[in-house]
Amino acid sequence: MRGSVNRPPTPDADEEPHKEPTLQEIINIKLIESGEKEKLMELLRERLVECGWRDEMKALCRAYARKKGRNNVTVDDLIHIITPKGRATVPDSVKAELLQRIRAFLTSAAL
Amino acid sequence: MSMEDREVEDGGHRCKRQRKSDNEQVSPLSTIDFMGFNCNLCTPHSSSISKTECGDIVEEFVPLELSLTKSESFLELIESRLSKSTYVEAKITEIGIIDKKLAGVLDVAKKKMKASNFPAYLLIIGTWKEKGEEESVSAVSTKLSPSFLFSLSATLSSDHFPSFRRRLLQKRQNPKLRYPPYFDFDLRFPREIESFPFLLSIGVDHFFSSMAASCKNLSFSSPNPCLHLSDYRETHGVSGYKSLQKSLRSSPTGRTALGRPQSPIPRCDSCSLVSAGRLYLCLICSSISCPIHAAAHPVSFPGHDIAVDIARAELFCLSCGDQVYDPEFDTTVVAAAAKIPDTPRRLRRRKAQALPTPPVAALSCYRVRNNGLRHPWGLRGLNNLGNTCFMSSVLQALLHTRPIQNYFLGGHHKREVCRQRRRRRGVLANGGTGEVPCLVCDVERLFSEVFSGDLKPYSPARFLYSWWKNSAYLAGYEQQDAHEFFISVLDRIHDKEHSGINNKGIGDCHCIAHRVFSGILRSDVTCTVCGFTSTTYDPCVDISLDLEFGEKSKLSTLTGCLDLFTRPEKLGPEQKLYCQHCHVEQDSVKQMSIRRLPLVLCFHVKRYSHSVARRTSKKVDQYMQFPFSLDVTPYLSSSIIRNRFGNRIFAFEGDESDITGELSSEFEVFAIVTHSGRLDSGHYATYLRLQNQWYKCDDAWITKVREEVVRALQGYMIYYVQKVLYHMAGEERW
Repeated sequence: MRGSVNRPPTPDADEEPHKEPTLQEIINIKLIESGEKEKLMELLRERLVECGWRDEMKALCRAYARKKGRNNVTVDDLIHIITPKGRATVPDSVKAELLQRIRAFLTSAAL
Repeated sequence: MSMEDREVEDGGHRCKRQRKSDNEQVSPLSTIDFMGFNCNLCTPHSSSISKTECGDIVEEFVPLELSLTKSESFLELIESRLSKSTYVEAKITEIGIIDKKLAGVLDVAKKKMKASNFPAYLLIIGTWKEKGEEESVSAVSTKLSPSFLFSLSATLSSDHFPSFRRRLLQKRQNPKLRYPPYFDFDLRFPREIESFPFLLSIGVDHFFSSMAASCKNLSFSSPNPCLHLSDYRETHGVSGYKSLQKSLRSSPTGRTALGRPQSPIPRCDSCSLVSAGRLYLCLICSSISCPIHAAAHPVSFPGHDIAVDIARAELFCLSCGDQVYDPEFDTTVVAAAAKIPDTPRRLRRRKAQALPTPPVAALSCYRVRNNGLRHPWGLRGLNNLGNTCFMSSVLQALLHTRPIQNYFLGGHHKREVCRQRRRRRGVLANGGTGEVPCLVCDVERLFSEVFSGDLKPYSPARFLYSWWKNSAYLAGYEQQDAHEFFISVLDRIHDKEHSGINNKGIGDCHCIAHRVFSGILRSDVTCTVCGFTSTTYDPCVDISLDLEFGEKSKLSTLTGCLDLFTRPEKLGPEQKLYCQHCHVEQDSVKQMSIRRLPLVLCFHVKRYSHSVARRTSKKVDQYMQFPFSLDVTPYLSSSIIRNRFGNRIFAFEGDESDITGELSSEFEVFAIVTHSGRLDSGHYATYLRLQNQWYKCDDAWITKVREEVVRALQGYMIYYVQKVLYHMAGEERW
C-alpha cells in the first residue's frame, strides 16, 4: 500500500493496545461531539475558496490527470500529490483564524 | 464525491459543443458544474474519440431551422425554472401528465436543485445497445426506454406547441466499454413560445423518473467501471444502500454525511484514530477504516471492497483506492437528503395507514385525535346558563354513562316519532294547548350536540327550558341540588317513556332511566322479640350513603359507608313497628341490602346534615375515600342474609341468588360530581374517567387531571358502572 502523506505514524497495534488518547485526540473528539468541527470545516472550506486555494489545487489535479491520462488517476493518487503542496499553501490568515476559533471553543468548553 | 474530485475526474476534457457555442467568457465554476453534462456529448471515458467525431454528430443532426441560442445546460434551465416552481406545478396539473413519481422527483429537485447535485450520468436512460455507425435518429429513439419516449411524445405532440422539435443525439460508444448509452436530447423551439423552460423541465423530470426505472437494468456503474463495485452489486444488490439511507444526515449547508446514531464519533477500527481524515465504512461488515488501513481491509476480508466515505456519503473502492460511482447509490443519497424535512409527516401517515381499520364507533375517536385534540369523543363543555352548574355536572355524568349513550346515540328515541306520537295524544287529551316539550327529545338533542364533534362549549338552553316545563317546581334561577336534579331528570324520562303505558312499577320498568339506574333494595325488619322478619323491596335509582361519624381519626371510606348502610340498625323507641307476628308494636331491627344491582350504580353521599335539635343544616366537608374498582358482593342481599343466618338457606330466600346472579357485582368508577362551597351556594364540577384518563368538566372548561387529584376529591355523587360495560367501552374506543 502507498504510504500516507504527512500523517502521524501508524501506531503499532500490538505495542499499546489500549493507550490513552492524546490531547489532540481528546480535542478532536470534543470538537466532533459538539458539532463545532463541522462548523469549522465549513468555515475552512469557505475561506479556502475565497483565497483561491481551491482553484490552485484544482489546477494541480488537472495537470496531474492530464499528465497521467484520464483513466489512470485515482483519488488516492491525487490526495497523495496535492497534500504536501496543499498544506504548505494554506494562507496564514486562514490558519490563524481557525486557531483562534479552536481556542475560543476550548476555553468555552473548559468552563 | 466532492466538487474537486469530480472536476478532477473530468480532467481537462472539454466539450466541443460548449466550446463551439459559447464564445462569451464562461466563468470557471459554471464550466465545471456543467462539464459533467456536456461531456456526454463526447464519450467521457474514452479520450480516443476525436473532437471531430463529436462535432460531426452535432452537425449531422442540426437540420433545424431554428435560431434559438444554445442553452449551456439543461440543468441551468431547470434551475431557473424550478425557482418559479409554483408556476410549474400549476402547469403540470393543468396539462395532466403529472404522476406521483414526477411530483416526487419535482419535489426532490426543488429542494436539491443545484447543478452540481446532478452529475451527468444521472441523465442516462435506457439500456446499453451497441449501435452501428450509420443509424439514424429514429432508430435510436426506439431504443429509448418506453416511459421516457412516452413522456417525450406526450410533451411534443401537444397541439399548443406545434413548432416544437426534438433532436436526439446518440453517442457513439466505445465498444470496449459496457456503459449505458448516453443520450442527449435537445428540445428546440421558437423563442416566442414563452413556456418552453417549463416543458423542458418536464422532459428532464421524466428523465429523472425514467432514470430511476432504467437504473434497475444497470449492472455497471459509470463513469469508471470498477470491477469490485459490479461484483458487489451482483452479489449484494442494493440492500446495502437502502440500509444506509436511514443513517444519512444532511447538514444545513447541503452536504450529506453518514451519521451513525450508536457511536457519534467514527474511528478507525484498526488504529482507533479519529483525526485521520477520510474514514471509510465497509458496506458489508460496517467496519470503519482510515486511509492507512483502508487498503488492508479487502486483503484481510476478501470481497469487502466497497466502502462509503463517512464524511461525504460517497462510494469508495478500497481495493482500487478510488472513488467509484453508482447512479443508484447517488439517487439513494439525494433522495434521502431531500426527504429529511418531510419524513415525520410521511411516517405519521404510514403509521395511520398501518393501523387496522377501526370499528365504526372508534372512528370518531381517531377523527378527534387526528385533529390534534387529545380529548376523547363527546367531551364538550356545557355553558353555565346562570346557576346551572348542578345541571351541567349531572348531565356530563349522564352523557358519559355508557348504556345511556348507547340508547340515545343508537337512535332508540326518535324525535320525529316522538313528536308524532305526542301530537296524536295531545290532540286527544287537551286539544294541543300548552304543549310541554319532551324532555327525552331534548336529551337526545343534547347527545347529538355533544357528540357532533364540535368542540365549542354547548349551551343546553333548550334542555333547561324543557326541564323547567317538565318540573315546574324546580324552575327558576336558583341554585339547585344536583342530586335532586338527577332524580328529577330520571323521573321525567321515565314519565315520558312510559306515560300512557301501563305502569307496572318502577322495578320492572323498561324505560331507559330505570333500566340503567334502577336497582332494588331489600329492607328486612326483624322484631327483636319474636324474631319475625318482614321483608320489603324498594326500587331505587341511587343509594344514599351517610358519612361515617364518630371516630374522627378513622378515615371515611366508601366501603365503610356501605357497611354502615347495610348494618343492622336498631330502630329507636319512637319508631316502633307493628309486628305482624306479635300483633303489637315492638322494638325492631332494620337491615338494608341490595337485592338487584343496576347497570350503573349511583352513590349519593349525604353531605347535608340536618340537625333536628338546632334546626340548622350544614354541609359536611369530610373526605371520603372511594375505590376506582368496587366489588359490592358483601352488600348484596344474598351475602347479607348468608351472614345473618350462616350458611343455612331458608326456603323463602331461595330466589335471592337468582336475581343478583344476573349481573356481576364488580363496578368501575366513571364519574364523580363534586360540590365545593357552602350549602346555600357553591359550585358543582364533574370528573369523568374516559379511556382511563380523568377529565374535569367545570361548566364550559374541560381539563385533563391526574389520578391523584381525583383520589383526593370530596365526592358528592359517585357513579359506578358495571365492570363489563366499562371494559367494553374501553376496548371499543381503542
